[in-house]
Formats: sequence, structure tokens, C-alpha cells
Amino acid sequence: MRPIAVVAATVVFAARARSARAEEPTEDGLTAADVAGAPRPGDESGRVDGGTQDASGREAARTLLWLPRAFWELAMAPVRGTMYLNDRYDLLARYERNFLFGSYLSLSPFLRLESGYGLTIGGQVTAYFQDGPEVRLFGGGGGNFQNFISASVRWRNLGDRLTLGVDGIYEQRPEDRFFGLGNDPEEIERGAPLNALTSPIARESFYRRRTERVAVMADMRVDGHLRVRGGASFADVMIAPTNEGIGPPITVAFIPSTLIGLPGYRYGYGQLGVLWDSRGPTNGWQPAQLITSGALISAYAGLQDTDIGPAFWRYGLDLQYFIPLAIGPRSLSLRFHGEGVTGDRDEVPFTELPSLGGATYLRGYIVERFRDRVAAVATAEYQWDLSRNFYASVFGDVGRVYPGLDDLTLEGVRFGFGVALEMHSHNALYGRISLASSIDGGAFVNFYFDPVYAVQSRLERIR
Amino acid sequence: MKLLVPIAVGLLACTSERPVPRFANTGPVAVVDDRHDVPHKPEKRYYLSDLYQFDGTFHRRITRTLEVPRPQRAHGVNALDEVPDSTWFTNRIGVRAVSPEELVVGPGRVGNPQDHRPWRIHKSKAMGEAIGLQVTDARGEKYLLKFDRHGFPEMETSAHVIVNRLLWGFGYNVPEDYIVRIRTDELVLAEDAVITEPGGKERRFTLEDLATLVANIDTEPDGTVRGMASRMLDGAPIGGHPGEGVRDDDPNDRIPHELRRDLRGARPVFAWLDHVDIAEDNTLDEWIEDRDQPRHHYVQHYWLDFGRSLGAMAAIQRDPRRGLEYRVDFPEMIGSFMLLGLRPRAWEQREQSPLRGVGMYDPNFDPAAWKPHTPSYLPLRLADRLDWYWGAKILMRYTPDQLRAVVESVGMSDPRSTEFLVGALVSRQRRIGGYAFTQVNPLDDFTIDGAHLCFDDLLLVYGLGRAATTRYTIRARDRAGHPVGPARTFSAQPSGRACAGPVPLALDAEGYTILEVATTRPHFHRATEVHVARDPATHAWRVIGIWRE
Repeated sequence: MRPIAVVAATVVFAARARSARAEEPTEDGLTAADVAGAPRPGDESGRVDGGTQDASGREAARTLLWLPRAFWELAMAPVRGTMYLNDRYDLLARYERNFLFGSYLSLSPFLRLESGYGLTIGGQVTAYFQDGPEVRLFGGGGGNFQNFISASVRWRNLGDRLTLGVDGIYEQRPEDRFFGLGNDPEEIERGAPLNALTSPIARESFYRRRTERVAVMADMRVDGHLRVRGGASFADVMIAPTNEGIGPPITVAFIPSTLIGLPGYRYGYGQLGVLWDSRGPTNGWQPAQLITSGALISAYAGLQDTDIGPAFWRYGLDLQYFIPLAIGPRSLSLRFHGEGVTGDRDEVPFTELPSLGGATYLRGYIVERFRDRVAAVATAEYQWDLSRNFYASVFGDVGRVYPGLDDLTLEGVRFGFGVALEMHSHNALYGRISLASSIDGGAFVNFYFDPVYAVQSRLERIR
Repeated sequence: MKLLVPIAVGLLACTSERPVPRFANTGPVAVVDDRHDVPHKPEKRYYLSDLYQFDGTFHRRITRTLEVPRPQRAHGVNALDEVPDSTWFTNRIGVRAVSPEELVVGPGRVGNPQDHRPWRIHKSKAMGEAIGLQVTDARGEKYLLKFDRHGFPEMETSAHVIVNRLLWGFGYNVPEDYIVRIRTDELVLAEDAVITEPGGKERRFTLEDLATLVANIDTEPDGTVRGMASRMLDGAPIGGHPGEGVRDDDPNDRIPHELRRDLRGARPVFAWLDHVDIAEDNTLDEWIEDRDQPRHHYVQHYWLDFGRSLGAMAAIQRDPRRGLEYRVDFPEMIGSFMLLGLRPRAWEQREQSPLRGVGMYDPNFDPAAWKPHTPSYLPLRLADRLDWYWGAKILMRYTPDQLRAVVESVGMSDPRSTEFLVGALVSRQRRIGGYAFTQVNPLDDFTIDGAHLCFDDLLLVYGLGRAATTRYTIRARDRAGHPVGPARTFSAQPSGRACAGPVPLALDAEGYTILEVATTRPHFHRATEVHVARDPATHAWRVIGIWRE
């Protein structure tokens, strides 16, 4: 091949290197003696013009940017320091070895951020017993949001299809909000206490809640995607107004006698439901927790009996449908969530009434912004990939609460919208952050580890 | 006022730094002396994966921008813009004859452990998806033994060895890697065998561990398993080389790595081979004894771990983005976010080959769009068109026969897989040539005989362009830059070799003349300066330097 020969001809080897090549055509590599006398690295260019130096303008720019760079270095130092320690001393691997890998104990952190409530952090310890139950202790605290500790035992895959569980939880929520019942906009001016049962005016107020609850549950896979869920719980709930400093206490904003459930109540609840769930990734190339296709139909009904009023039924329906649009993956999801109670407003503790708002149902509004006997929300969400591990979505939620099933109407529905980012590994969802607003204004940032599409049994909900 | 600062910084940073190269009237350097004694073993570099990726993907990219670095042509090249032999790189294919047989042997010296069984297992990482064992063969030679991942038979082992041989032929230092086939009962546990768990804790390697391991390996119908044995390198390992700067404790390491042509110029060859798994941990520096002087030490630099090349990473990780996007690719992510994912991406059309042992290796790919797994390895990110040209020029020297010999040597069970890989290698090779040879005036191998200047137009030599539409114009200047004689224009030849003459040359004793050879094709016009002078000893004209526009 001609060019090869020409290149070879132009190459001038140092004398010793040349002789080494001639004697050892199969190449044993050069030795120090072979290259002795050859130019040192950096001196091989043959240039005699002095090369190119940085222009004074570049030096000046560098000087100007020294301070921002130093600031950036300083800001990143804690992050990089943590990474260095983890990498250098294998901290995560040691953690996995001690808690996850091949052992029967796991420890995992928990973090949730919701606008208006702040940060809740905690941890979860799970012990796995071979051929036995899974025992989990779960606790967290978050200043003005939620302090809780829970314990659960699960016997999974009994007979390859049955899961049994027992849960216990103690939860304090020191600054929950109550806006009254109904779908009305919030008032600006404060006035005399309102009748919580009848007033059309929404008013932000604050109360404390403490819940102690035990529950038993069963989940049986009937066939393929079809499952039946049932369970029962018993709870003791305490409600009290907050201090004035946080905001208007519930008993100042509303007439106390109209606040059903104040100062506390006990209840027993039994529930039965069916769930058909074919959701999942479109193919094995997508992260396992990424839902881009399939459908979910979930319906339940339960009887709740409190010690302050007659028993009432609680019922709910969840419908979800995921439409894969294109490779990527890009998908459109449609979701409906409805929930209701049969008891009247003056029979059901206000904290037991269905609600909308927060990170899951009717995003763009603060948690439990709307309460009434019936709540319904529909969502359209378009999700697409940013990379293998990052996914974005834009969503719009419409929904409202109603005094009863007879009052269902599209009039006055609330509309929330926003954007969300999710981070996945191939096997797990790392987290999701969303920014949402609504036609009524406001901006809400939520960060959490659960997919918004999770349909958790009411018996299992921490909040 | 807020706008003035960035504008001022930008203007200051863009002030002219145009070089006026002149060369010494000597022959080009073919080898550098980076084998001075390093009496004390340099400190081992630990690969800190998360920090490395964080810095390379995010943090260092920002601080480096704030440092306003001057875009620089690669260093570590001689006057002809070639890389001299060193502890990093050895000119092989194209500089000396490399037969297909020699390519198949590659770096092999000690030889395949295949015929030296049984093998004793000394060490293993805890069972993950990738299985790696440290073994010694019956001769006592140490190897790292790897297997194909379950569900991907022949893929990683084939990629490993094919890429190993082609990188060796290209000029890099690589370990001795071999395809092996063994029966699992020929693997025996050494008395001191240990298994390393995550976090570095070691425990005894038991027969149960071995059984678990064997169960995760695809077994051939004849009861053997296929693996890849990589001989442990001679010397003391001191970790990988940093992608930026130098090793402070190695006095021979004098050129910042991000400026080394042999590292930046790896981009085209890695693109060719889809060697996406580039990070510091896939390089290794060895503090070695000199072959002739046992007390004389220096550092030799290696590339390692090619099992995820040739589309294997995309296939195994089930991610068709590999090779086309960084793992965290902020511009791509922002673009996708802003456009709601509506923009089609090149990787969406990729499909896994049904052929056994073949990954997502696309014969038709866009070299300019190729990306390694992460942007962290700075030399690849800084590779400019001249680095592409250098790398492409070397890899284009591989003939189809040589490529076939290398691919056939890994013994893939399906002949269609071999055919596909040979075809894909040739196709990608030509695409790289077609790309790199249009970014730079692709004239090479200049000689001057009397007053006749000859050169190869690589685009035409490799049949990637048309001679009929190609013309060359030569202008001569003296050392001071003053014109010498009239410009001369002539046509290209279909062979790609062109000679012009007599060309005007300076008349002084040294005869230092700069011959600017401009190539004109449709939509292309670039020039190369060829610096010639009389050899003071023989008074014959010779090429003393090349400067590509």
C-alpha cells in the first residue's frame, strides 16, 4: 500500500531504535537504551517559532473569572467531598453489604418535600426472614408536616398468590390545613367564624391531628392481572386547634360545633376491593418502574363506623390508561380517581371526607385544599424521556369535590397543571419532583419517591 | 452593565492567537525518550467513579469554562504531525509491515493459557452480572478470566479480543487477551481463594460460590464455556492515567494528557469500534522494569477492557442511546425537555441484531455524532479535526483481509456474525475516512525529489472522493513569508498520488520554502503548508515540517 510505504520512508528513527526494529521485527518494545538521546516528550515538534502563547485578552478574562470559579469550587466542595469519601471508602457498598446485599436487613432513607408543609425525612428498616414474614419499621419527621412511626408485617406469596399484612401507625400532623367543605375559592378577608358544614366560603385554618391505627389486610392475586384486596382497621384520632402563631386555628376560623370529629373520634373500617393492573414498561429496554403502557381498574367499597355518628360507606374508583406514543419512550396517560362517602356532612368527621390537592390528586393545589363527600379528578399526562435515567412529563389535572353524587357537574372544576421530572435506575424509581400551579395561582414544588400512579389501599396510606 | 461583563470576557478571550509555524531543518522525530528512570514507584491512583463522573459530566466542565482555556492543537506530535513512539504509543500498522497473522497474535508474548490447564482460581468479585476471576494456569501465569454475560453469548468476549487486536495494531499498548474454552471442572479453587464482596470485604471462595458462578455462565453444547483470559500486565499497577494534566510523580509524563495527540486521536478509532466504555478505570499505568536494565523503571500506559465495544454496551445495558448520547447528556436532555421529546433521535431506529454475539453495532453511523458513554475523559472531548484526521489516517490502513483475520480469530459460532462484523468494520472505517478527510485537507506522505513535490490525497487514495473534480494549487513562500515564484495549479489523479513540479523554491543556501498546497473540490477548499529545506549534509531537498490549515 503506497501511503504506508511513504510514511515509513519518511520516519527517521534514532539509531538505536532503528537497529532494534531491524533485529526484532515482531516487536518486543523499546528499552531505555533504545531511546536514549531522543528528544524528551514535549520537545518533538521541531518547531522553532516558539509556538503559540495565550493572548493577553485571554489572561485578562481568566483573571476576571477567577472569583466566580473560586465561588463555584467552594459551593461544590461539600458535594464533591461526600462523593470522594463514598468512592474512596466504599461507603455505599459497605452499607449494601451490611444492610442489603445477601443479608436479611435493609435500611433505606425517606424524604418528601411538599410546598406549604416542608420537608419530611426519615428512614425505613426492613427485616426479611427466609420463608417467613417481612417486618418493617418506618419512621419520619418533618417539623410542621408529619411525624410518624409505623410497623408492619407482611407474609408475601403465600401459596404463590396471597399476601397478608398487619400494620400499626402512630402519626402526628401538627399543622394540617382545613379550608372548609366544598369547592369554593378561598376568601381573602377574614371575618366571623364560619359554619364549616354550610358556608360556601373557603378559609385557611390550621389544626393538629394525631392518629393511632392498626390494620390487617389481605391481597390475593386471582389470575394474571386481577387481584382482590380486603382488610380492616381500627383507629383513634385526636384533633385540636393549632397555636395562633402558625395561622388561624380551626376553632377560630370555623364554629367549633360544625367541625365534625373535633376533638377526636374512633372508628372501625372494613374494605373490599378488586384491582386489575396490566401497567408496566412497554418493553424490557425501559426501566422496570416506568409505566408507559397498560391499564388499571381499581374499585373498592368499605364500611366505616365511628363512635360519634352512624356508620357510612366509603367507595372509590381508579382508572388509568397508558398509551405508548413513540420510541423513547413517549407516552400519554389518562387517569381518573373518584372517591366518596355515603354519610352526611354532619355525620362524617371532616378529616374522613375525601379530599383533593397535593402531590397526587389535583396537583397545583395545596394538600387537602378541597374536601367534601365526593371527590373526582381526571388527569392527562404526557411523559417523555430526557435520557436513559431521566424522564419529564407535563400534566393537567381537572377535578373538584361535590356535596353528593347527585351534584356531579363540570361547572366550577379546578384545573391544575405542571411539569415533573423523574429519575429512574433500570430497576427502581429514585424520585420525582414536580412543579405545579393552577388557575387559582400559586406554585407548588413536590419531591417524593413514590410514583404518582401508585394506587395504595386506604388501609396502607401513611397519610 | 450586566451584559457588559460577559461581552467583555468573551471579547478578551477571543483575541487572536494565530501561530506562524517554522520548523528546524532536521528530520522528524520518530521516538521520544520517556523512559528516564523513575526510581520510586509513583503513587497509585484510585479510580473514584462517582466523583470522576460528576466532575467530568458537570463540575469540571464548568470550572474549565471559567478558566477560559485556549483551544490548542494536540501536542506530542513531530514536525510531520505524526506521533513518535513512546510509552503510550508505538507506530505499527502503516509504518511497518503488519501481517494478518501478526495482528491475530497482537500483543501476545506469553501465549494463550488454553493448553495449560487446570486453572487455579485465586480471587473473584462477588457475583454480579459480570463475572471475573483471577486465575493462574499450569505454568503459573496469571490471567483475569471473564465470561460472556448470560443471554449475550460470545458478545463481550468477541468484542474484547477484536478490539484489543485492532487497538494494538493501531499503536496502543493493550494486555494479552485470548479467547478460551474450558470445562468448568478444569477450574479449581486455590487454597487461598477469596471472593471480594461489595465494600472490599474478602471472604473464602467456596465450592458453592463456584457452583453459583458456573450456573450463571452459558454453557456450550459440548459442555465447555467460552471466556476471555487477559494476562495480568507485567510491572506494578499504579492505576489509570488522569484525563487531564499529568502524573506529578512521573518525570517522563510531561505533556498534559488532554493535549496528547495519541489520546485525543483515539476518538476516531474508538468511534470506529464503538468503544464507548471510556473512563480512567479502563486505562492502566504500570511501573515496569526496563528489559535490559532491571533497576531502571518507568511507566508504561495501557488501554483495558474492551468487552463493551462493538455495540455490546448498548445491547447488554438495553440502551440504544449508547454511542450516540452520553449517559447524562445535558444538551440532549435540555433539547428534549424544551421540545417535549418531539424531536426524533438517531438512536430510536437502532435495533438489536439477531446474530449471535453481535451487539448494536451499526454499519451505517455518523462518526461526528458518536459519543462515548460519558464526557468525563477529557482528551476525547477535546479531539479536534486534526486529531480525527490523524486517527482516521491510521485506522484506514487496515485492509479488509486484516480485519477479517482478526474477526475470524475469535471463533464466533455463527459465520454470519463474522461476516456482519467484518462488513460493519469496513463500512464504519470508510465512514470515518469520509468524515475525517473532509474536515482537513487530506494530503499526506509528502516527498520532494529535486523540485518535484509529491503527495497522496487520502480521500482519493481510499476511493472516497472524485479526482475529476479535485484541483490543487501550490504557492511558495520563503521563510519570511515572501512569495517565491508564481502559483501553480494542477489536476488530481485517480490513484490519489499527485506530483507537481518543478515547484518554485527559495534560492538561499538552506532553501527554506513553505509550499502551500490548497485542495479545491466542490464545497471544499483547504490548504496544507509543507515546509521543505535542503539537508545541510547532502544538500538534497527534504520535507521538514507540515502545518495543516
